Amino acid sequence: MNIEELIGVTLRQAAPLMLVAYGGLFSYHVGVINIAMEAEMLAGAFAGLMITAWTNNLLLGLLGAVISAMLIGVIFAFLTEGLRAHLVTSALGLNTLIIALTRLLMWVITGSRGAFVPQSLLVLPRLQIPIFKVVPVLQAFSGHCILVYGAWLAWIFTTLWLYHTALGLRIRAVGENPEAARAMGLSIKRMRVVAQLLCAILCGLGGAQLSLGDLRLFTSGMTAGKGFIALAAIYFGRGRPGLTTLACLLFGFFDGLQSRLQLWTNVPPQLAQMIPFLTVVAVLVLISWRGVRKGAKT
Amino acid sequence: MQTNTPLLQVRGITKAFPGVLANDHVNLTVFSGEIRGLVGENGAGKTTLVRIIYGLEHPDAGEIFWKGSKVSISSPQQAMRLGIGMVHQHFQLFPSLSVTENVVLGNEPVFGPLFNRREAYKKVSQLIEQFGFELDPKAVVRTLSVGQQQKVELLKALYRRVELLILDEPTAVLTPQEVESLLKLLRELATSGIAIILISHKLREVLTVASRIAVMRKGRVVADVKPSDVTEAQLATLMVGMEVQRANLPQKPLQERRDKPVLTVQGLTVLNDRGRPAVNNVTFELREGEIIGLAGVEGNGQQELVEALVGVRESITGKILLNGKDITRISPSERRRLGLAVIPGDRLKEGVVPSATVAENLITVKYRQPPYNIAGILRERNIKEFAVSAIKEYHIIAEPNTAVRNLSGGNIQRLVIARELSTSPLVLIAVHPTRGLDVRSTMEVHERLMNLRAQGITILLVSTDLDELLELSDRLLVIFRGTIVGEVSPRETTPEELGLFMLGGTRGQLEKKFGK
Amino acid sequence: MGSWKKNLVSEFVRVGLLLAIAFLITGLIISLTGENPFAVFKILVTATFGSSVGIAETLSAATPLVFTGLAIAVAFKAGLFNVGVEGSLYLGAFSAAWVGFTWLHLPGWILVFLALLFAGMVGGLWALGPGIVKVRYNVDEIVTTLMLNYVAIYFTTYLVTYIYGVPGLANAMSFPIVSTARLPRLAPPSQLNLGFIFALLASLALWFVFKRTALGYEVRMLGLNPLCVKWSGMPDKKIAVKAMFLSGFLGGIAGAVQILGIHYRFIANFSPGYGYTGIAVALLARNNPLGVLFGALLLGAIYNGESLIELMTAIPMEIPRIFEGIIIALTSAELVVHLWAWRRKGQPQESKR
Repeated sequence: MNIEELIGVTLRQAAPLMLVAYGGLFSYHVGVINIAMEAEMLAGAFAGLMITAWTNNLLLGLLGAVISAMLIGVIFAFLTEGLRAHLVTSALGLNTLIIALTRLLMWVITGSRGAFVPQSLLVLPRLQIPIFKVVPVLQAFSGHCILVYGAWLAWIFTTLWLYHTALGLRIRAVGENPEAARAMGLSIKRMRVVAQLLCAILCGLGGAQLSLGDLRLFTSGMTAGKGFIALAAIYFGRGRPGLTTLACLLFGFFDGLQSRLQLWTNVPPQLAQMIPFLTVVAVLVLISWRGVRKGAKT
Repeated sequence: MQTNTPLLQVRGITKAFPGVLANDHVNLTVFSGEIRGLVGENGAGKTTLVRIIYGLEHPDAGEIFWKGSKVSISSPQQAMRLGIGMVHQHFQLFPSLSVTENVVLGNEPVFGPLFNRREAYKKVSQLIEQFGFELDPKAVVRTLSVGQQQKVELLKALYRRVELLILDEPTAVLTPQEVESLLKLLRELATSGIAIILISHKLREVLTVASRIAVMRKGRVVADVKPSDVTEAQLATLMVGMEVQRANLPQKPLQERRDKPVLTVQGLTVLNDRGRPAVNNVTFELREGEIIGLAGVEGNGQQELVEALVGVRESITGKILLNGKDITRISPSERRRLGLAVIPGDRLKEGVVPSATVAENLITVKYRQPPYNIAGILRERNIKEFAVSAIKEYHIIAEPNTAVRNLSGGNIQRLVIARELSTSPLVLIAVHPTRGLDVRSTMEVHERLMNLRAQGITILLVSTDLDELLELSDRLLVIFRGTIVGEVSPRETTPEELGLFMLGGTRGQLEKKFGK
Repeated sequence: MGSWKKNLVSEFVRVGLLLAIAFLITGLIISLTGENPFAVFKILVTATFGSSVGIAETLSAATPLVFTGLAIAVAFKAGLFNVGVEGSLYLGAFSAAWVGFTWLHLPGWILVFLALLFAGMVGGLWALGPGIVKVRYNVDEIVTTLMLNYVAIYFTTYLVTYIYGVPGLANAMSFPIVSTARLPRLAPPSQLNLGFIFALLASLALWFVFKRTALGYEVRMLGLNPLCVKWSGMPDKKIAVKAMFLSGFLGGIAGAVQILGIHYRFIANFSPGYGYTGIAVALLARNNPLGVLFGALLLGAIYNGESLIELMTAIPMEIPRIFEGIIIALTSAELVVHLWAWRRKGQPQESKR
């Protein structure tokens, strides 16, 4: 039981969750339940890896991740705002589609099925923080790939954007009371689309962190529900970035815990792998149970 | 102060909604610097008209002229650009945002990409001081009193350069002092050249400040008068169109009066969706064979009260007793079995399942009992028989298989009544049962309610239609901001007095006004 | 409600347009791989209808989809999204296998009955949790059921790896079920088995439930207008929970039928996503139990043809899933907005379930 390792793996596992969750906050505040985050994340993971491998340029790869996620976001916005499709079913459909499409494209481009592990892949640079390296426990905070630190920056960025810009104010207003926002001259549709695009950008980065960060590969369906776990984190935080971060750390911890358990103990891997998902369910039930006020509508 | 060209002129504005002609060839002019009163009953079309002017609705026909040139106002953005501002009857505010954020939304001062909060506070504080409002620009709107929230609504319009300010029932929720300062403010604004359209129920106030008053009734402007030419009573008559008839009440001979309490409510407090008390420690009693009217401006707790009585919303304190039995914590289905029935206020959303058939809707209250349900299987023949007899008895123009959404409002109401009465209830709660119905259907419903009363069924009639309440009720309770502020006998009051009561006046104030 | 013939025609048009667009987009994606989409579709048709074996295999492929389609449809009708059918399927599959390799000496038909019943009960109970917390505490059932899917898959894999499994295998599988528990094959050499007949019966049974029983009635009303259901005094919470249980029950049977009819043992990760494909089936069928047969046949045909496609063109087996995803995504979109705008007028509920 190595605390340093636990901290390290928590930070690493929480990072993609955080990025996606912050993106989802924009959706949440504008009043749209965005289940397509999973698809956007997967697209970002795929494009990020592919383009980096192909062009040998990390920056282009990250850009590719963001753009591909935004593409999904545009399609989703078109379906829901333009064609007035149902939020949940269109998102579920996109998820299924993207899982299959990335597998197909992976085969078309690289000939691999199931997983693509490029031979020599540029890796996201790691950041060593000298101050941390001195103190034993804090050592775990140093040496992660930049997107892990990027996730924390994203927290600041998201909070700033949501609460300290005019655009963020408008997004929150549209989500809180669309009718009143309309009466103030705002375009509800436009705000929703902008929020969704912002969400997609962060989801793309979250996906890129997944494939380019430590794993350095792409497997089919590698997001494994993380988009939904991020959604649970948003529900936990009720839209507040700080609490959302806390939830992401919590879920990241349990995710890290299960892999360490497998390493350090004899716990059967499958039982360990169940832990993060059970945690999410338990957390959701707990906060909803506390949240049911007496006197609310039944 | 009038110039020759009216600031705003609307001609022939017509707007229809499903089932109702809200505006019927409406003409109106407003000059700069004048206060234009716009009065009429609920549903006369005043709000629709100003919503069209503000770009929230589009007219089916008609033209709008702004400063002499024809314009088409297709959105609130456009209206604001022209210089039109609106203070809505139901506030369009964002409860979790601050006063300043609510006011500047859409026209935020910025510092690069960032929202320049300091600048915004400064500007809003200046405005607050200029108009003498006592508001904290940083306060979160959810924490403000209703009167303060109203001021925020006003600030929204004042923050943007307005030439025409529309106020929809601004004084309905204010204290007398607040009303005074608002009227003073309006006069100041008018003097400075701003034109004002003032919609209000409170005829006395309109007569005080307006320079001209338009009276609307059933979608048309029926009169355009100067305050000096009319009295309050005359205005009221113009609004209503006829004398209120009080002659239809069948007088119950005294010895038939039954005193047995059937539904008792004690100290009931119910929270609304925001967690605030919508019903505040309410106590009253319904006796057998009575019709009790519950009068009040919509949004004063009636909906939450009815929901608590039916069981759709949980109350947090207090008791409800049906025939002596405590039903406070009992499920809605149990309450029905014990004799409670309800005609919900929103026919389409609460009353029926529109995509289902007439027959399917009729048995929602009975589908678990034989002979309609044997061992879990629905007996189609019995259901159809029941539907056919209900259709016949209640004159529903439909077949058992007709989809309810294809029915007219009147027929839907008949269906709901048929369904509720088929359970032979002891107590019937009717929430504005004749809203949106034509005259014939309305009379039908009233007749049926009176018949039920004669049979000994107790009725709680919740309505905003004063005539209906006065005509049918044995006793009238008035609810205001969640409390029962008074009880009147319909025979001893007038619509005007009742209206004033509903807007928060106390008995003392009334006595002062009417010198009783 | 009106003439049902007119409704049927408009349904066909709607579905037809949806399928046409889905085929179009899928075809475009296929051409990305360098293959000719028409050639690929021709292979599909040949595999599906070209021979009696092909047809039999299509029916066999459709069997689990009928059950999962019904499962999702039942939940949809109540206004709920039970994405957890896959989880119920896995648990049900294992439960059936367990009955099959534990009770070795019972007569065949009793064994099958018990296996199916047990599988259904387990599947139903699995869906009960999310259902209860949804109605009591308003916990989003999409996230909970999805998370529980992973739990179910991992848990069953654990069971056959460590406890009930044949040791030393790369992909864990359980002990084989006793031969008397096997569902007879209907058309060898295809995999079509009695399970298909069960699927037909289930579809008919659910049609009956929704047309003539109180349960079907209350579930339908709940989905159409939950507010009115509450005001009318119907026990809305209980109805929702019942619907979730039934949904999970059908999911469990879906898994059981695969085990008893095809695999004859529980194999870890055996499902290529029948539970999720069920969503497409239910949406295509507009939650109509009989329409589910059609949707299951269509998707079953496409999935059946995919192995042949892979054989002949080397495209990996993703085409059906791409098609499925497009269907799910587009079903609620207003593709026929201008033509059928009149249908939407006067509907206060925009309930697409």
